[in-house]
Amino acid sequence: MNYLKNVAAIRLDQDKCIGCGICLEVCPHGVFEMLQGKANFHDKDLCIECGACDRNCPVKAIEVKSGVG
Amino acid sequence: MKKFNAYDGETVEEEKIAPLVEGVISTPIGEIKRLRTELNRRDTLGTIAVRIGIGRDYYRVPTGIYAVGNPTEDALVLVTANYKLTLDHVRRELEGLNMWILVIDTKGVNVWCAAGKGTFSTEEIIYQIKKCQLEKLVKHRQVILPQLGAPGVEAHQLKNYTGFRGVYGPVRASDIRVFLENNQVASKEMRRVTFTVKERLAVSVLEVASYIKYVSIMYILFFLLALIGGQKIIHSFITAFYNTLPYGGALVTGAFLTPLLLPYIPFRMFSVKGMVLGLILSNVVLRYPLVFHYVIDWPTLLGHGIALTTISAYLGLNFTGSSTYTSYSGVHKETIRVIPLMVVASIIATVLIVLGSLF
Repeated sequence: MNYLKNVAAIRLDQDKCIGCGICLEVCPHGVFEMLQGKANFHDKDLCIECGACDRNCPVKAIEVKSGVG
Repeated sequence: MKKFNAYDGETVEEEKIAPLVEGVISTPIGEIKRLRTELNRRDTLGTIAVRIGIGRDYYRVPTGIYAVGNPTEDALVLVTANYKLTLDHVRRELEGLNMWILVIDTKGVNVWCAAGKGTFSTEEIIYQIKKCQLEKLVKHRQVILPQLGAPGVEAHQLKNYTGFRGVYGPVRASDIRVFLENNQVASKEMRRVTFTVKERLAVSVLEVASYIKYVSIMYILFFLLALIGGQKIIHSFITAFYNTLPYGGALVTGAFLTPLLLPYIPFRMFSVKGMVLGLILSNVVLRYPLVFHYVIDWPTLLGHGIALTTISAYLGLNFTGSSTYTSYSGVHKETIRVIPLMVVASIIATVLIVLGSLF
């Protein structure tokens, strides 16, 4: 199931990423994948902006404008 | 009878918590209540009641540490929310296991919603770990967090403040056992939130129940309209009943069928999905206007058609709040686009129906 395209307010800074993989672990919709030791968007449109990756990224490489709920 | 509760200093109804408990375990930090792992009829009835909005308050479980089975100082610790339905989901999956359960204060709200609102938080977990003296209860330094708590928790900060490492378990409590057997590794499926037919059905039934009062308001409006239109009171009651039936239908299409058929209705916007079903409903209703005692002239019928379609679309839009795959930005975009149209449509529909009935 997919909702609207190109609206998710999520940013990933691959330069900061240390490849720990916590974002893949906490994301409930499989937005991320690992590519050459760095997190990468697998499908950005699946993002529901819950903010789990943002909070748990230890190097603040991900930024999500998350709403309530 | 209300009693002061030593666990979290909140007043809770002890006797209603008691059915969950079977005995106590003596530990270096005192006696700890042991939770049952099987749900009984009382739990089931309580769940039905709370789902329809009765007794919501007693579904706040006292916070603190609980035992399942016969846990030792090596047993794992699961963290969960203090909503009884959440705790029920967790404990019924732990039969035969020996574990500790740390219940944190989420104000009686489930894990995911509480994480979104910020009550299932790093601070609260740190507070409960310290207050429950977890470091004296267990030898290891690890707690297992529900994955859906992640929007509210910075797992890496837990260790800095408590010495305990936070490990994310699976989304669903039903996967906990496999997760543990699998050396605490969750498969991709265990990490994904789903929105199955069963899940959609469960939430949509509750949606419909919450909207039924509006159908009775529609009934009163149609009754008044018939009365003002010159019908006798007894006839107005009957006319209003038949007039209202299709609106009950719009409630069903928008709040029940749209969620149920969500993946099968074309278009991405929920309001458009609701509109599609609303149009189908309008088509059927307007084919048999006499059945519903509608005045047979084009303004009235057009008005009902627009009203039914708009209601269905609006209820579809509302369901974005219950879905598990909509984003805030997406819903914002959709709302801003469709609400003005809905307002205009509602005004036109009202004017057409009222004028058609009175003149």
